[in-house]
Amino acid sequence: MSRISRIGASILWVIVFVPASLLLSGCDTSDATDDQVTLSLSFLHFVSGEALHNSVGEGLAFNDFRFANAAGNQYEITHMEYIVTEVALVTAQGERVLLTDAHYVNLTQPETLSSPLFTVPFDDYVGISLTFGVAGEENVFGSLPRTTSYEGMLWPAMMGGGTERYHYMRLEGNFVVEEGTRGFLVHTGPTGGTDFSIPFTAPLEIDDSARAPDAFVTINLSMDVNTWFDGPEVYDFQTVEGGIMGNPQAQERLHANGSSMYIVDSSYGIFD
Amino acid sequence: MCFSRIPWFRGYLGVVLLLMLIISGCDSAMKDGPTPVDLRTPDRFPLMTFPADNPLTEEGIALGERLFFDPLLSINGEVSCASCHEPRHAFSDPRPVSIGAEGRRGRRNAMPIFNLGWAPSLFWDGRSPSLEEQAIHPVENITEMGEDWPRVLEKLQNHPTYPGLFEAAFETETITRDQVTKALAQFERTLISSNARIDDFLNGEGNLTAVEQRGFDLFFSERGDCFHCHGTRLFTDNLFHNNGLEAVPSDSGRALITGNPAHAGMFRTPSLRNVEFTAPYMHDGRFATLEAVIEHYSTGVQATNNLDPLLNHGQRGNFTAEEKEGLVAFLKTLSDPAFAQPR
Repeated sequence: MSRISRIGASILWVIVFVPASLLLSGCDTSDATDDQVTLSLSFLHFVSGEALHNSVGEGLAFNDFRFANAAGNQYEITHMEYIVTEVALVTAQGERVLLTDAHYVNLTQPETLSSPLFTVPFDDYVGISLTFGVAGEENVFGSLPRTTSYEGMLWPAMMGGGTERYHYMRLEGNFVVEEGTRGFLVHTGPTGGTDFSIPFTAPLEIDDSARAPDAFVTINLSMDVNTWFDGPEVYDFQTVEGGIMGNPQAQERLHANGSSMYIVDSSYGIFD
Repeated sequence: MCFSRIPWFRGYLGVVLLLMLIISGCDSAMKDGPTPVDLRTPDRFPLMTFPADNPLTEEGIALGERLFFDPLLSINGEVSCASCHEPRHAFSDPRPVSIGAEGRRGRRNAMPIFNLGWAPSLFWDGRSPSLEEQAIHPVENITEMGEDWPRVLEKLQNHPTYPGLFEAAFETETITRDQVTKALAQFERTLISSNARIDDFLNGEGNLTAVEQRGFDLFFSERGDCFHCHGTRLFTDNLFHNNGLEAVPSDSGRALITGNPAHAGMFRTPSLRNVEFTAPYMHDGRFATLEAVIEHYSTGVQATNNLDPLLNHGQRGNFTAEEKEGLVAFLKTLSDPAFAQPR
């Protein structure tokens, strides 16, 4: 082959085959190998052990005064949505492997009760970490995906220290009082610009069976709603009147109670 | 020099020609079909999602606009979409309930039409999941256009100009209901309202008067607590609430769709943008003025089984005269002059 033809061949190789091979290899990365683990998050919610919905979000137990908390409030839930951010697995060496920057959960939207599938390297994982809400100065308008779901969680600037931010959680309902019912509005967030987001960590191990072909792991994050109300700081709807977006004491109580918001476990399955 | 004598060239010639054919094929298809439109949405609005099977095109939008204003869709050729969704009233109806073809009264107030590309459901009770699906109903509703779809399609197919417009928009000769509703939906997605004084203010480019600021402060406080339902740049959460209009709801609202009694009297939150132009208010048009609406939220909310918790606590309401004046003034800063014009 002449010098010209060798140069031509090289050019064609670069133009045609290199992009093609890159494309093909890109397609291939979604398939986990035995050095990788495929997993997803599943968000489950209970009140005093009673499920608020099943694993696919059906049978939602809203609008029913069947629940009670430690303060003795008999209550119903009508609305619950929240944001978790910086969800990561933690290795034995303390390294964080990020699963997602942010996930939005709304109990009336079953598709939000599980995450997309993630593929991560198999490693000696010892825990999971996340932030309930959005931490510190990260919590500014535009830092989360620009969807109607996240923007429905906006926290007005005048209650956010002069900057428009995001709620962490909107948990709403009514409770029984002598004359009928009254609303409770547990809206956690950056009251006055103060960071009340909650760092959460829990032990979690992923065993060897997750490396099997077509295996996947579901990490179950189970929240009992009464965790927010029952302690260590008892939260009584009768004494916390109406909204709490301007009430740092209420935010502090919920912050203290929320540190153990989830029980975490995992289950293993095989793709069909 | 003959290139075909170069061995590597002969080997790859087929590949190169094939790629050129593919590229030129893509190019010609783009030029011959409807012209894609990249809709620009306001910077501080959420992202709008578009159905994959109904991309915006210049031809589709223009066709949708023409259909929207054409009374041909009704049984007697007298009522168009615009008859009850008047452009100068932000595409709403100044009557409490609309009067359809053949004089029949509707059941609810016609909702305004703008920023619906962000709405996950349509109608006061949310019965339609998309603009495309929504557009099916008024044509065949006996209190609206009272027509049936086969006759509409026949009229369009026999029209002197519509077949050509549909062919330009959808590249087919046979007009279908699916195409009509897609065209209407395309046009409606382009009705974006984002040029009000409040936008300038929120973008740091304008000021509010002291009275407007008073209303703004109350609107975005938990005592006024308007913002939880009428929040974001859209000024609606697009969700369903029972706002205490009646102790026993005379219209079941959302419950008619879900079958859940707990949803009785719940209706979709309308946007407060252009609220100055969209009187009368509420699903039944019961309030003629903004002052009447504010009085309802101040002192008129009725206790009912499923009253929204946002309205069911003692911290809110009982506004002073100055606060009410401020709220009205603030609400008028949400007016976009383009939605008070005839088209």
